[in-house]
Amino acid sequence: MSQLTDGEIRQVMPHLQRFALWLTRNPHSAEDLVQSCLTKALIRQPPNEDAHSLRAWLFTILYRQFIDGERRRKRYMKLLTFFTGEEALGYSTESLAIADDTLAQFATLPTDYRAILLLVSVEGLSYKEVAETLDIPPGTVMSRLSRARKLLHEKLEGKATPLPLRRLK
Amino acid sequence: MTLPPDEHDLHAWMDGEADAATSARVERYLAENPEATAQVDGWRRDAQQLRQAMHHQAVALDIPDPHFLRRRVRQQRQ
Repeated sequence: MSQLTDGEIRQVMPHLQRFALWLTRNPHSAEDLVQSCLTKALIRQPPNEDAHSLRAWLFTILYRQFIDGERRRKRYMKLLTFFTGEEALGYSTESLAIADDTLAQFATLPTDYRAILLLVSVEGLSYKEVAETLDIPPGTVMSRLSRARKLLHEKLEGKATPLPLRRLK
Repeated sequence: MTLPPDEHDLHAWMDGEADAATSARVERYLAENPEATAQVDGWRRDAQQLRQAMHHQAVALDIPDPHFLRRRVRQQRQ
């Protein structure tokens, strides 16, 4: 069985890290997510195609891991809230510092929108690849993309005053 | 008369996902509708702005060594 090579891993790393970072918006969680994605990928057969489809394949694995993690996290938070009677905070204290205004606005979009915009507009995946990666029907890709672009545009247009460096909690 | 393209067609066209017939329809429509053209240009500018911002803010995360990952996989299998 041909495995992912070290070269392939290094090549795809910045893309995986970027996807993970914008899904989690948390550097620590992103590092963990990339690691668990690659650990999963190393025991599977990668597609025998070009670098682009390899990337799409890894995005798919990473996204599934992210969704699974979110489910676990939400269950855990519910339990915590139940036992402590207080609303539990989601992430660790470390948060993502964003100096760039465009990225700061992007970071406020819902997770689904961040994911689809990153895959289509930044990574250049086809709609078909996006449908597979996010495990949604092609029609949903279209409508979600349409809503995501509209909201991003409102945010980018609406920002009257540039905001200083901020931290996401 | 053909129907005007819907918003999904505009996105598909912008992303190079529209077939030849839809592309022709979208291009005809855009040529006659400056408002729609401005809308598509806006989305395109946003996407470019996003790409640029992401290239400038390099991701500064720890990079796991491939050897470390392989060792971890082997350990998990045992």
